[in-house]
Amino acid sequence: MIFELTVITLSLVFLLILFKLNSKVFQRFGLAFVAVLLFEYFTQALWLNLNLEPWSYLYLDVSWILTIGWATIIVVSLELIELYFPNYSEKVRYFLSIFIIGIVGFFAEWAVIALGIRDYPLAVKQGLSGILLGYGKVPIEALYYIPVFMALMVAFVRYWEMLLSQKPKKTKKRGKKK
Amino acid sequence: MNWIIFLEVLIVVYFIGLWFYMNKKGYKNTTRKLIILFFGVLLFEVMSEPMWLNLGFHKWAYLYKDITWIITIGWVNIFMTSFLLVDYHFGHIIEYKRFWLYLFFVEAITVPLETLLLQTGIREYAGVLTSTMIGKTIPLTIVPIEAIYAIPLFATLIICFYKYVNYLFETGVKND
Repeated sequence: MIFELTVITLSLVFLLILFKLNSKVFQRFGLAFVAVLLFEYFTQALWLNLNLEPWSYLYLDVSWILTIGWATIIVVSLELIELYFPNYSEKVRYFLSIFIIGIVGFFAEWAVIALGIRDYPLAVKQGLSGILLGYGKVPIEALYYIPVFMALMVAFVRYWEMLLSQKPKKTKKRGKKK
Repeated sequence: MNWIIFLEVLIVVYFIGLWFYMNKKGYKNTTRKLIILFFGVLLFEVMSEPMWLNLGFHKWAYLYKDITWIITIGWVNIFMTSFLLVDYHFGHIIEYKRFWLYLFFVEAITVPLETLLLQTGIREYAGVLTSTMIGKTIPLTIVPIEAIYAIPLFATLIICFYKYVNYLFETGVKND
């Protein structure tokens, strides 16, 4: 219960602070939530999310608490990068966001494993190298799967932000190449 | 599976044909677009590798464990064909509406192909995945019912990745 309430409180606090910087932060959070949920739903066979309160589960062991945790990490990182590196190109900021979220995500993964919330099915463990980082908690494979996961998540968020900011006008004629 | 070579060649030939077609029709940066799409699919396959088994391909077709670049470019063929069809027939529609059409086309193309791959034993689902399925299939196929929503979920993330990274290369935008 403490973990769930901590995640919810931290998310709310961060979002309210960031709202002063970006009035569309809740839209961004919503997009990040959807992106993470899609990914978690698709890959739920690869993870075990354990020991959370029954109300925090959506389907099998997909938990919306972990979803808002990841969504918050994504949103806070994106906002901070836009705040501190406004002159960098979108391309650089994209890679920077993957890098920063990758680092934060690694520690988040370490925390949920240490708390007994996150585990991996036996079949997945058998496919891992067995090398563990973070005092024997996190598989070394997290060093690539978190950035890969984030490359897809950030792209989803930024693409849909662009789509939602488009004015509803006809953009192309039939058969025109893009 | 001696005939597997025909499948491998067919997928590669279609891919090359797609490249020539797009160049001939004047699409810009065709090679880059196909590489971005290939990379997007590959990222996802690396992530979800424990969920699938790709069997029977020749050794040269495998990249890592049972990830095969033949299947990856097969996905590229499906996605790019869907983009071309939707953009040609519905290019006048605003992009966020076309996005749903992309998903529909990908789904419509993929379900019969997934059926074929499952029935021929090229594709199997790992136990870690089947243990989460309810055991029902799409009528007239052996494709698990979960594919109805799993394919659009997967496709959503790939399409967004492709569109966004393509946008990054096409623009020099510094800020929103």
